Amino acid sequence: MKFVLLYLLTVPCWLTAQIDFNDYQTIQSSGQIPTDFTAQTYEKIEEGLTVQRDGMSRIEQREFLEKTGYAIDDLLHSGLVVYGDELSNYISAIADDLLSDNPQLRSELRFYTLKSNVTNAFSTDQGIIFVTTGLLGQLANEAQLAYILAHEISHYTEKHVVESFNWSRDQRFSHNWISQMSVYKKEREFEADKLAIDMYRKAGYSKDELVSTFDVLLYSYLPFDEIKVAQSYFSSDQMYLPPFMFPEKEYEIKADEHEDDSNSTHPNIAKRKEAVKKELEAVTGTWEQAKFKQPEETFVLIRDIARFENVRTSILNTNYGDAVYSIYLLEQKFPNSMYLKRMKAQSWLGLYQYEKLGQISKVIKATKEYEGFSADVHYMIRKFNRSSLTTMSVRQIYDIYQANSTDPEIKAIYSFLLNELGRDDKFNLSDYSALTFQQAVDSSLALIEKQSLDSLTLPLEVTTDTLTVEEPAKKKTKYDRIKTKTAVSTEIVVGESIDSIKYYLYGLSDIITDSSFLKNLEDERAIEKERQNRRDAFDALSSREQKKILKKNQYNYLEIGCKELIVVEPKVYSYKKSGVDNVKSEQLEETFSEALSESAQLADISLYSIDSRSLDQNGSKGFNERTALLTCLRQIGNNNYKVNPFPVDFSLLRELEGNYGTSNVLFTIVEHSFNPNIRAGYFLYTILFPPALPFMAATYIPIQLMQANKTEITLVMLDIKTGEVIFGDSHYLNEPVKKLNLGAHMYDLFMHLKTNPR
Amino acid sequence: MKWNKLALIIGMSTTMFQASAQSSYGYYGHKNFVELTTVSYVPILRNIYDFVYSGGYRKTIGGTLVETSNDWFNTGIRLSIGRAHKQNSAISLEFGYDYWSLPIGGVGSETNDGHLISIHPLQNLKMKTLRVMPKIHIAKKGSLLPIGLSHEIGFGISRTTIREKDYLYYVKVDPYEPAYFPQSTKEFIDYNQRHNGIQFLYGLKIRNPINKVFAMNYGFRYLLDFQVGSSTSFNEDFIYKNNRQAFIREYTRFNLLTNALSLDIGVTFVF
Repeated sequence: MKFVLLYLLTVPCWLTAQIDFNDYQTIQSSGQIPTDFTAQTYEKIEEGLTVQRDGMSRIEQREFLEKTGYAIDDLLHSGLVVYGDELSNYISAIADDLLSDNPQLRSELRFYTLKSNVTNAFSTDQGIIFVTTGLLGQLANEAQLAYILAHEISHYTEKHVVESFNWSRDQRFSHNWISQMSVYKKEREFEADKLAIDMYRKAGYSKDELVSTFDVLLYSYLPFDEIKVAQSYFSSDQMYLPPFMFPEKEYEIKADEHEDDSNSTHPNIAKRKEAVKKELEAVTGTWEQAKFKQPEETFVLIRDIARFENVRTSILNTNYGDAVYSIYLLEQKFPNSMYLKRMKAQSWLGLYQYEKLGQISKVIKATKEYEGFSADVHYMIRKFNRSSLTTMSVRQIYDIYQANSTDPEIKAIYSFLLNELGRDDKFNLSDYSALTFQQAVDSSLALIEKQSLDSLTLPLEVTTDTLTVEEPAKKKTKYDRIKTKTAVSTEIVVGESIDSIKYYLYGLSDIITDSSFLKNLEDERAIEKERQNRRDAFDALSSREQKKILKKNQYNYLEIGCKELIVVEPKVYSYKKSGVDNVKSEQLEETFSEALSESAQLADISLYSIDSRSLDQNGSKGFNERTALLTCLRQIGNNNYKVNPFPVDFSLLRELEGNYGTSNVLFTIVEHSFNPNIRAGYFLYTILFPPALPFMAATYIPIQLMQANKTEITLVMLDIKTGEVIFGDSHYLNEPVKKLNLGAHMYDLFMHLKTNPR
Repeated sequence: MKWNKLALIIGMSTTMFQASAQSSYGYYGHKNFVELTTVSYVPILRNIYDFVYSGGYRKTIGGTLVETSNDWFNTGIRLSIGRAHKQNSAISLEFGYDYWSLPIGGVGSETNDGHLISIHPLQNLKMKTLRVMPKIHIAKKGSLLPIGLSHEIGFGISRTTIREKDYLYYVKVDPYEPAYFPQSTKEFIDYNQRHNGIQFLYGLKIRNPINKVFAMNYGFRYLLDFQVGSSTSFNEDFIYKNNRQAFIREYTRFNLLTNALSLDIGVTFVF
C-alpha cells in the first residue's frame, strides 16, 4: 500500500516536470540522499555479514562483500550515478508496476541512473539496479525497459551476482568493471530472461514488444538513431563543403544476431530470442497489450533526456565524432536548443584541439568501425586535413557565437578558441580568401586557379543536397529504419560537384574582415608572442643561469594568492600484497580529511571540503557539487595531457564558483605501501666472505626497513573557471600515512598557495 | 689551540649558512630543529679481533681483581641544532660525546732509568670523545625536512681523552734491578693528553612526528674517525719517548675505526 501511495505522490512530480531542452542542463540528483551514498563501505560490509550466504564461509563472505562493496561504492561516488532525477524516478515507477504484487522485494531494490553511453543495466547483490543513459536513449518504448528491469531483478533474486563473482580480481581498479558486473554465465542469462517474462506479463505489458527488446541489445553499439546526415548541415553560405568530403557508399551495419558466441559470456541474440519465444509459447496466462503504462510522452521525454546526456557523455569521453552525429540527430527535433549549440561548439573545439595535436584519430572512429549513417560524420572529419578542420571548427564556433553572443558559455568557448588560435602558428589569416567560394567562382576562374584549386566546375547549386523529409521520429524507430534500410532512398539532389581541395580557404571570408575577431586574435597572439619571447630569452641563457632562475622560481607555480579553496574527496589507497586494503584505505581517508582541515586552519585558508563523508550534512546539493567537480577532473583525465578541455559542465561549475567564491579546486590522492624489499639472495654473497654477514644484517636490513614506507601524494589543482590545470604534482616519500605527516605537507602546500604571485 | 680555531670556523660558517639560507615552510612552519640523540655502538669488528687476539680486562664486582672482558657496548649522546633551508635539504651542527672502553690488555716497556716494566693486565680505559660536526641532511624531492627520512652526511673533528679514574692494573718489574713502579695510573697516564681526529659520517635517519613540535628520531650511522697527530697518554717520565706512539693513539685509532656503526634514537624539537 505504501508503494502505491509513494507512486501517487512521486509520479505527478516527474510527470509535470518540464524539461527545457532549449536550456538543458545535465540531470542532477535531488531529494533525500539515499543511504547507499552516505553509509561508509565498512559499515555496509559489517551489515552484509549479518546475512548468511549459502555455500560461503565467513572469510569468503567478507572477501566478497569487500570486493563488491568497494567496487559498487566507487561507482556510486564516481560522479556518474544520479538518484532522485527524472530518469531514476521513471525507472522506479516502472519497477513499482513490475513488483506491485511483491512489496517485500520492491522494498529491497533501489534504482539509479548511470551516465554512460554503454547500453547496459545491471544489478548488485546489495539490491541496487543501475540503468545507463545509453540504454534509455536506445529504447523504443516503455515495455522494453520493463522487460530489461525484470531481467535484472531476476538476476538479483536468483543471486547470480554471488555466483559470478570473480574471486581472483580486485574489482576496484578494473577499468571495465561496469561491464564485468553484468557478466553472468550463459545459462544464467537464459534463466533471467525466462523469469523476467512472468514479471513482465503480470505487469500488463505487450507480448509483441518483448522480443523486440533484443533488437535494442543487438544494435546497442550504434548511435540512438539511424538517419543520414544531410551534407547541407555542415555547409553554409560562408563555408562550402564539396561532396567528396562525404562517402559515396553507405556503410553496412554488420550486427548479426547469429554471431559466434562460443567465446562470449552472453548467448547470442538469436539464441536468446529463440529461448524467449519458446517460453512465450509455454505461457498460459493472458496478455495485455500495453506498450506504455506510463504516459507515452513521459517515455519520450525520458528518452530525450537520456539522449541529451549521451551527447554530453560523448564529449566528456572525447568521442567528438559521435557527439557531432548525436547533436545532428537531436537538432532534428530540437533545432533551437541552446544546449545542443553549446555542445556542438565544444565538439568542434575538441576536434580542432586534437587535429592541432595531430591525434584526430583518437576522437573519431577507426575506418574499420564505420557502420551506418553515423560513419558519414567520422568519414568527413577524417577527410579534413589540418587546415580544413581548423577552418571548419572556426567557422562552426564563430557562427554559433555570432548567433548567440550573449550566452556566457558560448562566449567562453569562443574565447577559448581564440586563445587556442593565438597559439596556433599554422593558422594564418592571410591564407584565406576574402571571397566566399561561390563569389570566387562567380568572379573569376583564374583567381581560383591562382589559389591552387586543382580544378573547378561551376556548381549549379552549391549546397542544395537535401534529404527527403523524414517521417516524424516517433512514427519510426531506429530499428524500423535499420531493418528497412535497403528500401530507403536518400534522394540526394546534388549539383555538379566541385573537385577542389582548397575549398576551405574560402570558408572564413567574413571572419577575416571582422574587426572584433581580428583584434581578439591579435591580442591573443601578442600574449603568446610575449610568452615566446620569455621562453627564447630563457633559452639564450647559460645552463648555469637557467638553473639559478629555475631554483629561484621553483615554487612560483604554486604561488597563486589563493585564500579560499575547494577540496574534493581526499582519496587514500593503502596497498597490501594482494592489492588495495580497502578498509584501511577508507579509515586513512578520514585521517587525511582531518589533516587537510587542520592544516588549512593553521595556514589561514578557507577550505570547503566536498566529499562523500560529508554527504549526510550536505545532502543532494553537496552530492551534485561533488559530481560536477569529479566530472571536471574526469574530463581532464580522459583527454590527452597536452589538451586543455573546455569543461563540459561549464554552467554548473560557474554556479559552484559563485556559491563558494573561489574557482580553485584541489584533488588529492595518497597511495601507500609498506614494502621492505629485502632480497634474501644478497645474503648468499656473504658465503664468499662470511665476516660480511653481520654487516649485511646490520646495514642492509635496516636501510630497507627504513625505506619500506612508500607514500606518493598526488595533487591536482584546477581552475574551474577555465577548466585549466593550475598544477599537478607528485611527491614520493618514505613516510607512513599519518595525520601529522600528511598535515605538514598540506600546510606547506597551503602556505605556498596563499603567497601572492611574484 | 689549532683545534679550537678549526671548531670556531666550522661553527661560524654553519651559522652563517643557516642565516642566509632560502627556505620552504618546513614542518608546520618550523624549519629549525634541536635534536637530542643517544647513540649506541656495538663494536662488531673489534670483538671479532678480540676473539682472535687477547681482549681487555675489567674490574670484578668487588673491585680488586681484573677479569677478561670485551668491549660489547658503547654509548654516546648528540645534540644538534639545524635548519631546513629547502624542502629536501637541511644543515645542522652537531656536538656529541661518546663514552667508550679502550681494551688495551697490557703495556710492556722500558723505563727512563733502564728497567723493564710490564703492566699486565690493565683494566680497560674509559674514554670519552668530544665531537663537533656540521652535517647536511638530504631527503627525497617533495620531503619536508626536518621531518621524515633523510640521509645525513657530515665531516667534522673529534677529541678523545681518557677519563680520569682509578684503573686497576698489575705491574711486573725486572727482578734483577731495583724497581720503581707506579703507585697509581696517574703516574703513567697523562689524563690531559688529547687525541684529535677527523671524522666522516653517513647516516640514515627517520624523524617521526609525535606532535607539531616534537618528533622521535631513529636511525643508524657510520662514523669513521681517523686519529691524527702523534700523541700518547703515557707519561713521558715513565715510558721512553720512542714507545709513546705505540699505545693509546694506536688503540684509539683502531677502536674508533672498528666502532663505525651505531644505532641512534632520540627526540627532535622543531621550532
